[in-house]
Amino acid sequence: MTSERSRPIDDVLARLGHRLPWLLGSRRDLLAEVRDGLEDAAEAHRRDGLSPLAAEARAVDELGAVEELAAAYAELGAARAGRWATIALGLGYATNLGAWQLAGVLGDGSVTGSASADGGSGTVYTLLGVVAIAVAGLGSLALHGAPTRHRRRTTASSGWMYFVGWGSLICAATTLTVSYVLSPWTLSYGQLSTRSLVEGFSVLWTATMLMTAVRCIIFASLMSRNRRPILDV
Amino acid sequence: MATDRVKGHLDGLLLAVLETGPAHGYAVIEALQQRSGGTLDLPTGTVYPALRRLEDAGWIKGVWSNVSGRRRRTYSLTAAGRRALAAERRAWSTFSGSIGKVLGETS
Repeated sequence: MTSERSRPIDDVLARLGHRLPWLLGSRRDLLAEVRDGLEDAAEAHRRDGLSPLAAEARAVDELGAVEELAAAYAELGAARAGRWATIALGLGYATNLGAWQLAGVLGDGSVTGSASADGGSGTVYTLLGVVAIAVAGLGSLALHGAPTRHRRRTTASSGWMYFVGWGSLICAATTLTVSYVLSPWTLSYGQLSTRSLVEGFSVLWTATMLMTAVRCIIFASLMSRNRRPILDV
Repeated sequence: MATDRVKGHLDGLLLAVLETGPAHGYAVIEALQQRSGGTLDLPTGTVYPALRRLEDAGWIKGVWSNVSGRRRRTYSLTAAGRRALAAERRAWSTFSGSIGKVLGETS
């Protein structure tokens, strides 16, 4: 409710800010853009003869339901989260497997990178790699659309977001489990070897994959809960 | 015009407005209303997220500036956006032609 001294624009922006998902990285920018539009609209209504307060109230009224605007921004964040999750999963797994292979080729004695090494973990990593790249590829097609830019998708479905999110989470969690059970990481800070470099890279990549997966799942859940925007195009 | 009739066409409408030159959010809304003769009276809140979505798709590019102490984001059409707009126009032409044929048969 608008108090006697508060401005309708400030009130609606406060309500919108409260409803925007905290995971949405560009909240301040989004609010600044909506504020600019509302101020412009209020200015136009003042020129038409409305009082400052009535002009702001009209501009806020024209904005539509705050819940729907927040839901549309949540969907925007979800699409971004989905894209990052597919990139982290596909590219991350491919470069990680490549790095271990390269480390093996470079002749570090402790790095084999082959399927038979490290108590069978190589086989598991390779299988995980195939699954990860398949999930990333399917998710990418569903969330990004066809490779040609004018056919790109501009929205994301919560079903595919869950698919990418849980797929990434399972791949990352399995990688961690296999790493500790079959061939524990031996990250040593004293010596700089090929193995320690590759292991460091693996740690960073797995952490990134876990974070993007969790973010993707949270956004998918927000999308499922939110009412669809009025113009879900 | 009922907002649900615009459903599915907002991307094309926004790209068409930006084809004439760079514009910020409210200018885009005003242009939509003017060019439609006032019939496209959308809730303004539908336009801002849609512009960001188009930017994420690479169809438009937004830049921040400072105008009278306010931060303002101005959007312009990219080359990919022009191709997307051409595709939207082709799709609309096919769609409206098909609907017109069916409606024409019964009128």
